[in-house]
Amino acid sequence: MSSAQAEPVATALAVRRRLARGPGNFRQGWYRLRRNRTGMLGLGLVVLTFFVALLAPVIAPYAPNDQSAMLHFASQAPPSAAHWLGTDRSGYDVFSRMLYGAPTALMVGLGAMLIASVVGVAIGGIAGYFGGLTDELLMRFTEFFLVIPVFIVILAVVRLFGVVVVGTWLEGIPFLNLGAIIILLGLFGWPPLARLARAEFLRLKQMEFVEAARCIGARPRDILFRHILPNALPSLVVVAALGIGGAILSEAMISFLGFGDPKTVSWGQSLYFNYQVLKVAPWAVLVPGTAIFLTVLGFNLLADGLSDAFNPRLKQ
Amino acid sequence: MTLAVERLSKRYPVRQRGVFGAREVAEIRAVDDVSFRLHGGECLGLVGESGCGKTTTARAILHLITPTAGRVLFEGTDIVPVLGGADRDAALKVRRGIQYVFQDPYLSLNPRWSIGQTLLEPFRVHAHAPQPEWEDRVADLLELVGLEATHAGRFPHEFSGGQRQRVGIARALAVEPRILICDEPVSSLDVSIRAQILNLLVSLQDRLGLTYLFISHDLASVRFISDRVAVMYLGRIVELAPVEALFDHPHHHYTHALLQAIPVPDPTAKAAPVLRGELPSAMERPSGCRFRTRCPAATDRCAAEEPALTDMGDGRVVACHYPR
Amino acid sequence: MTIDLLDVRGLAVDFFTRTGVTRAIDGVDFSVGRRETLGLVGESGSGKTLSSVAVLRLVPPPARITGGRITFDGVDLLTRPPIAMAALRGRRIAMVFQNPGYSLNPILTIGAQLAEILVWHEKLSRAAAMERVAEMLRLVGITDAAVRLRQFPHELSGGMKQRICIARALLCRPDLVLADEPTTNLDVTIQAQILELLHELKDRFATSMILVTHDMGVVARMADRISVMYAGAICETADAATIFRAPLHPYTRALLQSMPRADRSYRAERVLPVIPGRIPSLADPPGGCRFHPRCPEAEPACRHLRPAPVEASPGHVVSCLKRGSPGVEANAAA
Repeated sequence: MSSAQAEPVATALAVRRRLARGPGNFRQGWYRLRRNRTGMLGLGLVVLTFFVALLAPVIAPYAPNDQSAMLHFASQAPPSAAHWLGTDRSGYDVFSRMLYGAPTALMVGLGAMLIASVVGVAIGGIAGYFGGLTDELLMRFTEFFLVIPVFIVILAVVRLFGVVVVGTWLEGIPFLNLGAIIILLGLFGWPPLARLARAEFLRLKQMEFVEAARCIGARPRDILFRHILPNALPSLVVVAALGIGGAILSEAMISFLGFGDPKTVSWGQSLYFNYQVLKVAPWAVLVPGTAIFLTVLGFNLLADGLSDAFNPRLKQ
Repeated sequence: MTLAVERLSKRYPVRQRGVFGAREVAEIRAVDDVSFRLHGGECLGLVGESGCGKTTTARAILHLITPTAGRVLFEGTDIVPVLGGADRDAALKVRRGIQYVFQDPYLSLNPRWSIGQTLLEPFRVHAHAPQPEWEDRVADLLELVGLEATHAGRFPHEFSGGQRQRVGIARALAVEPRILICDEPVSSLDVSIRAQILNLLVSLQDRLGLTYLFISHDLASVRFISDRVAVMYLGRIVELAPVEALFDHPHHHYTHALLQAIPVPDPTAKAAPVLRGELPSAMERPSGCRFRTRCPAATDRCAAEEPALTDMGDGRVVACHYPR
Repeated sequence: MTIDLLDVRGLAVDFFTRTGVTRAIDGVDFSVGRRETLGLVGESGSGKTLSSVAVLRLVPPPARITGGRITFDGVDLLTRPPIAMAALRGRRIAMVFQNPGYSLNPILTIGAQLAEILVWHEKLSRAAAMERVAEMLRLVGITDAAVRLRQFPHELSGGMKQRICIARALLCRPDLVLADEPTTNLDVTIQAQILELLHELKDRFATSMILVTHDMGVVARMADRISVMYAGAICETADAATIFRAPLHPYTRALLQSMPRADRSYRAERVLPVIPGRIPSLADPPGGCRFHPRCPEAEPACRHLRPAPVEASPGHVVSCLKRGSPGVEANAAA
């Protein structure tokens, strides 16, 4: 008798379980995001960056380190049929280097934020949920990291790293320097996320549905991962999106100052190589600069849009 | 007798922060030496105004707040150390016996879970039925509380307050408890919906043989659903009696004032005399009887000596030197 | 025959959102005479609070007043310029809100924020204003007024704060006080004190009052006339005794019956009469009479025709097809 009626329930539940390993009303957020112009613009820019990053090897007319232009005195040349956005100081094709810079930027942005998110949410979440002495200790630890002049430290570590690595077997590892930058950006980028995670976990642990879960007998682990975390995600995702833009910008700054990884193609590196010829070959600087600007803008607008989407201000 | 609360207390120290830590300067006794018994199949109403400690008592029974002192005997065993202890299986057994219905239907359901998931969770945690049966049971629960099984895939925001409260009740019933602690279950609902939920609670009690502890500040709901009523003031029970006896002839002056203060839906009724004064601050409890600062019958004795709960016969107890 | 102090005709309020326009208040009529208290009773979504703030033209966006006439002491308020409305608020029409904690400024002392009103409206000096405020605080039952003047809201209890809000409303001796659920958040014994205070003061100052509430007990105590609202429309208006003794509208009757009461026993029957169904969402209201899906007397006509108010007996207006209301073809949702 009830199994006949349970059919639709089983379907409903099964579908839900498949879809919603975590949250299920992200769909509502998605609908709201679709109607938010800045958010969609940001999303568009981000998607564009992803496509460029994926298709760089296919689209780029030249290899990124192809310096053949130098051979026929075509370096620092303005845009032409052969080089759509011109060539830069070292004879590289500006267009190709711009395309190849995209995957680097995304690796940095996403990689750094991934590390920062995991560390930040873990620290902040534990502090917020458990409170007491744990909270105090973790927050002092976080504040320590906030106080450090992150940028200087990163520069110092990168330089040190470079000095230590030269001449050893480590030099052969690809992306070592870039990897170091990503890890450092992540390890220093977590405090804002930790602060937010702590605030969210603190707020959510007092909610009645968490009390209800405790009442049913759920373990702290269940409560943290199945109840609190999915509800904290919207705010965290917004800050993470902003952080991606910030990480990309930081890498650009690090490279621009000459501390970047000379073996990788990055927009910041392009700026570093070419800022001296700004007057002679402005395209070599403008193109990577614009690329940085648009990518970071894209992530920031997306973050803005997500923030509006998950926190509707309009009355229903 | 199913549940016996013995000398339950919850105190909150009020600390002043110094440079090297905090000093306790005062203490708030949210629940102060509360004892009562809950008999199988009955509904005991717990009433009082803000600061009386009724909600804290309810939460302390289920260890949602850690009691500072006292025992809670459920089927003979003190469950306070069990619920706070490391033995998860023993704690789960207790939680199968006593469940809680929360006040706010909007906040007591996880907004990101479908109600089907919310109702599955008790099964996941307790595994008191074989897994293949879980979905059927969820469907049964939904129908038991007057919702449709096909609603399982929907989310809380798609339901009205009354429907969400039904889900909350279903969730509490999922583990087949014997005792249900209902914390202001209808206070957040519109008047025309309250009757529906109150009727549901009564019918569930009859069908499933449940025992209720019904906490509310709304005396009308309490009168409808309770068999006995306990009145609390500033952390203590001041009177406990069968419902009709309490409402017809309250012995404690506070109970009397409380009943008189309820606005009667009858424009021709004369306005009753109003109780003067404010609730004393929880940190500055009056000496002797807590109610003496507002009581029309207070004497010096009331300031000197705190009255204990005295048996008045017929199942009535009062804490008053000069009961009415 | 007294001329009404406030007369609201055909008030309509709509919500303008990206998804469309929702009608929150659908052409309601109510009025308050001098020295009279009107009770606006209804549940959530009935539009009672919105109706009262509409009188002050303080309807919060995205809602807007889209129709009707609000005549106060002979003047149509909907055509007044903003500066005239500002002069009116607090001085001739005042409001007491539901949550006294939120309606008092937390960073100003009680004295400062109340004196401000007198300085603004009556151009008093600071010192003179403080004197008046102290006097008013004593009138609302606050004995140590001088101390309270220097305190901040968070230092006071809920009951005390609400007394101060009442004092604030009455400072300029307004003609009309709008009280929106003034005692809902208070304990029962404190509520009784506040209701007694309101009752006494409105007589002493000869103030009219619109009392918005969902509590039938409160409105029985305080109101001379009562208008019952449901889903944005007024079902029935009559004097208090008639509403309780001989209500006409099915909603009023059902509401009165389904309300649990503390002054009667339920040992004999353990079932309350119930209004089935739930309160309609304003975004998707039922066609025709808004109450028809839950009405025990509904007929096929109720699904299509919106009942217009009709005077069933002197002073008793009801909107129900079965009580003689003419039906209006309900057009599609605005």
